[in-house]
Amino acid sequence: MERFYSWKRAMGALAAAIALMVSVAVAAPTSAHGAHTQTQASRLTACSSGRSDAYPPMNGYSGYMDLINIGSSSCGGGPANSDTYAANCSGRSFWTAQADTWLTQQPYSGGSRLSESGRSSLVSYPNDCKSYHVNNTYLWFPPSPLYSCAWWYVKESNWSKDYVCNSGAS
Amino acid sequence: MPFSQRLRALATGLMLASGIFAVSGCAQALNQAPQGPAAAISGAIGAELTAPEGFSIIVDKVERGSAQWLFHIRAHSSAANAIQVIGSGADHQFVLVEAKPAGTPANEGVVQLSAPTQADLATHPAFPAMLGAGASTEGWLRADLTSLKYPPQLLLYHYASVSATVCDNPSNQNTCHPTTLFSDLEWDLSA
Repeated sequence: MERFYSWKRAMGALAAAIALMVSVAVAAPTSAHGAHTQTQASRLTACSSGRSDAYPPMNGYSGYMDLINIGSSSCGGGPANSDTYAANCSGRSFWTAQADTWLTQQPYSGGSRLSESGRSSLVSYPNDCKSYHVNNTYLWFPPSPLYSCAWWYVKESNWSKDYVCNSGAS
Repeated sequence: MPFSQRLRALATGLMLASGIFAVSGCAQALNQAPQGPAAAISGAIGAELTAPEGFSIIVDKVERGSAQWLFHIRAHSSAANAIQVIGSGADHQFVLVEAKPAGTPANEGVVQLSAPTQADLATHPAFPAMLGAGASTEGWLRADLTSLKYPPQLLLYHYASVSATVCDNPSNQNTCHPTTLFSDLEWDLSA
């Protein structure tokens, strides 16, 4: 009987391992370093979230441009997410911006990035004060702590901002 | 080692391997801060701007009337194939954008350029839609200002369309819906 339960436990562990590998194999290609905007991971209920904002110089135009990164974790073993958005609420009809988005345990220059979107293309964002999704990355089985970070570039002012991070993905 | 223990060891190994893959699989070669592209995509009237498809555009003259503006445009291709510079859809088009206040809906205050009117064509030949491989071309395009409320601010050339999502509140996905944005060459008319 002892041998039977030992066999059952071992089979259970093996099944769990195979399920884990399959889910990682499915998640890895899309959470990896693609060059453009990615489809977001299917969202489970957010357990926590955090937000960071960057405000580029307006070169004399009124209003502001808000460059947003939102990090979020999921309940029930789901992925950690990092999403970037651009919102132009200025007197300039369009600003051209691009972003890179990543998840890391080391939120400083040179830190290892566990999952990264890759640079988005240069896109013109209209001054309608709405938030446009730029790109996303996510990571299954996230370690702790985990930081959600972004790099921003605004073409017209040749302005860039690196390592805008928050701890919302933890 | 009993078979059940061997199975457990195998399972533990698989879990460890998959965990390592999940954590480090994409970490290589991603630590360099990206740089902006080298080719100019924004400038003032007279600037030569370059589209990724392999052609450059100079808007070198603007005739500013009260009801219409006429733009003289020169283009040069360094591509190996002919390029459709003016398309039939929303991208590969020149658009004039007014100096609209913040909060104006994205599609307001934007007019697409078209060929000059019959009255102007004799003195302002139309900018052709096609550009041959390695060729140069020039011509005029017209912006009708009658629907604009504010002075023109930017001339854009849409060289690519981009599928996007727009949200009233980025923290609430229920406020988001799909939309289309553009990658542009951009001439600042106030510069």
